[in-house]
Amino acid sequence: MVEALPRDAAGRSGLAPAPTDGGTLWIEGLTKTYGHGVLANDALTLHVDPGEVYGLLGPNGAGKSTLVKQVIGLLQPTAGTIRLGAHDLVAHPELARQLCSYLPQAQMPIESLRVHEAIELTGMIRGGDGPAVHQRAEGLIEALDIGPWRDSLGARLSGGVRRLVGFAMVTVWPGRVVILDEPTNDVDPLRRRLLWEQIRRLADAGASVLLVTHNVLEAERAVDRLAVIDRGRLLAEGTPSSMKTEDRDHLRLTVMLEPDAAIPDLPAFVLRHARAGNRLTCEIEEADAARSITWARELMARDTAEEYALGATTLEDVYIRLTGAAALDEPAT
Amino acid sequence: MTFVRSYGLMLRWELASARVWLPFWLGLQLLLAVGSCIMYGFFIPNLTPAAAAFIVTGAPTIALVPIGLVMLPFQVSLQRTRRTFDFLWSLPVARPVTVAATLTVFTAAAMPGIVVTLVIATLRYGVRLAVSPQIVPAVVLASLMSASVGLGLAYGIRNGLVLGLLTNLLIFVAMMFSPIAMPIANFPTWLADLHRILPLYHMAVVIRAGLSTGLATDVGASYLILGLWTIGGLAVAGWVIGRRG
Amino acid sequence: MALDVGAARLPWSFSMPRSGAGYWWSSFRTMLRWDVASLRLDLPIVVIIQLIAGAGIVVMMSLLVPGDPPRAAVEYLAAGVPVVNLYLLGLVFGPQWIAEQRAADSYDATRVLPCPRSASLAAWYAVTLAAGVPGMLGTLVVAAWRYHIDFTVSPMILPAVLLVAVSGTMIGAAIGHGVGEPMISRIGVQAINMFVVGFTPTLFPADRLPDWLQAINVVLPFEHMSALLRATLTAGPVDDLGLSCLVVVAWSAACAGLAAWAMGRRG
Repeated sequence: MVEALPRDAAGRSGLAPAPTDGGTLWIEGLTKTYGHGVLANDALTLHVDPGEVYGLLGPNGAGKSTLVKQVIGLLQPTAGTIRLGAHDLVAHPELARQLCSYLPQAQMPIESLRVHEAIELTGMIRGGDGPAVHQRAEGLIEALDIGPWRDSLGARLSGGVRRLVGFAMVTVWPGRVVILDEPTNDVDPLRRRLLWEQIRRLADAGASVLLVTHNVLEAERAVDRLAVIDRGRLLAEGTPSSMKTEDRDHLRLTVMLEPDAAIPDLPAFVLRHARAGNRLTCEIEEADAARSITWARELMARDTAEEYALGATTLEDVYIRLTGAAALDEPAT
Repeated sequence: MTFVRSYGLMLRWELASARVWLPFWLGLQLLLAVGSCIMYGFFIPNLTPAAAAFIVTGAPTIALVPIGLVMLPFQVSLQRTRRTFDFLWSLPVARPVTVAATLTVFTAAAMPGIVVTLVIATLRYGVRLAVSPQIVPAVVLASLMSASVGLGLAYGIRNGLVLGLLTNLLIFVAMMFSPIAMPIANFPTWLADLHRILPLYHMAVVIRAGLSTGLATDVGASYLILGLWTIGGLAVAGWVIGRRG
Repeated sequence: MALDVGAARLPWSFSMPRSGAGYWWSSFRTMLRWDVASLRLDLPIVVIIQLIAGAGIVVMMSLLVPGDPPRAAVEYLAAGVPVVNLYLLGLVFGPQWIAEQRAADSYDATRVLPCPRSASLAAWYAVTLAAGVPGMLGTLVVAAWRYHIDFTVSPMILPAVLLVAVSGTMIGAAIGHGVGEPMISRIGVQAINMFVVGFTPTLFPADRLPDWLQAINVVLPFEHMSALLRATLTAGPVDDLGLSCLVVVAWSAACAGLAAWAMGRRG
């Protein structure tokens, strides 16, 4: 089930050129073992080019946050290298802080600060000059639709707005690498789109964006390339389309079961299945489309199912196949 | 779930949370109570036996302050920041039960410190104590009162830093500016009157009455005032909880 | 190569990391603004408690020493209380503030900002100094008025105040950044506070302490902190100011180094 990427003798996956490009973030053989013996990252190798949004996808506890914390210098790698252009970020964590912006998973400490103040001060600490930072901050506040809270104190903000403010703080004067650890947590669906738009603009302006998420469907829409990580290991890497090539001739049959119904006997053409609550997801060959619809209708006639839907495979299916776990997120429609 | 059963469960929860910290709390108690005892000897160069007896019988009161009035508010404010607070209050347990469990743990946690403090203090100053049975209700009530007032403060003051500074100040005041280790006669009238309203002085009186003869007067009134403060602390806590719900 | 994002142009050509005096100074100024803004809601209360603690101790002197306290004792105490005023924010409040951030999981958020650690510590020092000096002045005014003390202030008061404040702040910073568990740092700070008030010659002369305590205090900075202030506030004899300066500077430097190291610690 685990897809091993072909590696050369140096442990590189051979998918990209050697690190001579000035803006590429290059992570090679990154390993992190915690004191109590837990192997959080196991020889992870990946790279993020300028202008690219790179997603790290994986279940909770997979080691995604551990990875990015080593990039920004909060954790010390047990082995491996992290380079940004010619700079060695493991040997010089202070450089990492200068060249990279980091939005942590937890909220920012801005209880007593006003929203615009928090954003502007962070911009200035990152090296921006007053007027430019101010202008950029105002633009971001508008773009993220948090204008009504511009003068509010951090303590008064809801979780979602606070998250957006955190994002603004980190991207008002971004580093060459922008690391976002679950940026859309708590954010409402409308503003989530505005957030993704800003992330895309960052990449278009030349930043390398490293994005940690466990939300599969959002990731699919927003990233250029992604890696699936589980239990510290890189299971697969590529563009969302390339990762679905193995499933190219497959379709996805989703059956909404009646509450409390047991999983019915699955016909032979079901390649893979997963159940989350009342939702049964089956992967089938394209050729079996008609037979699957017949089967689904039979289930409905027997009152085992409420409805069904047939569609193209999504990244979620790839994810399920790789990690063997039912994805817990409900798809955003 | 019956009151007794849910109380038992919450008690186990509180004990499990506090277990790790008990040695540190004991250390803090000894530090402050024994420390202040010895400290008075430095501030007052020529200590009479009567003054020494006064100091020693006041030490247990000082040992009570860190637990109920400092550590309890501190733990509550930590819980608040860590959001454990919201979780605890969302449990299907009657609020009074949770409060009762907290009070039990913090009242009991103060006891060992009191005993050790007394032992060390009497050895240091060579004072002989006349222990009577009324020490038991005295210590229990004083400890319960500290925990209740601490709870009221912790729930009433939402700002963690203000709470922390206030409790810091409280220890300071208790050690240096209250008639716990020094006779109230030394105090200017206005301060003496203030202390007759505040509970610190009365805690000292009831405990002193259980440890000696003739050094404490008007003990009944002190018991009453302590009782009122306990009810007051619980009332504030109860009102805050009620508002939330 | 500068590209448009929104209304502002991003300086992507600035790919070289910053360093040097300009970087330090601009980081210092911005972190100072950040710290002041972060304390906005709490600073007024801190200052008030300062004044009460300082002036309060001075006025309550008569409780500690029964009867009419002798002149010398009063003067000694009045010159020692300002030490408490100067370290209150840095040593007592500072670690507590950091502990709150740790508990809220937001401690890392400011650690990842590109700011030299020395600039960050310097900015915090400026804040604690600004909060301590009014408290100290209040204490001195109350002492002078209540006990008719004539302080003979020498110009050396300025470096003395700066030095005393920096040592208190750096000790607090070392504890705050060095100790990971909030409960432990809280108890530690309580212990230090108690120790300074009751077991060092800050509020009463050293001869009241047993010999072994006197010996310990020679090595610790607290006795020297009060000696520096006393020398510049009163006319009385003070032993060996050179040694005091040395000890306080050494402690400040060591604790500042420890704090800076702890801030940059990687797990």
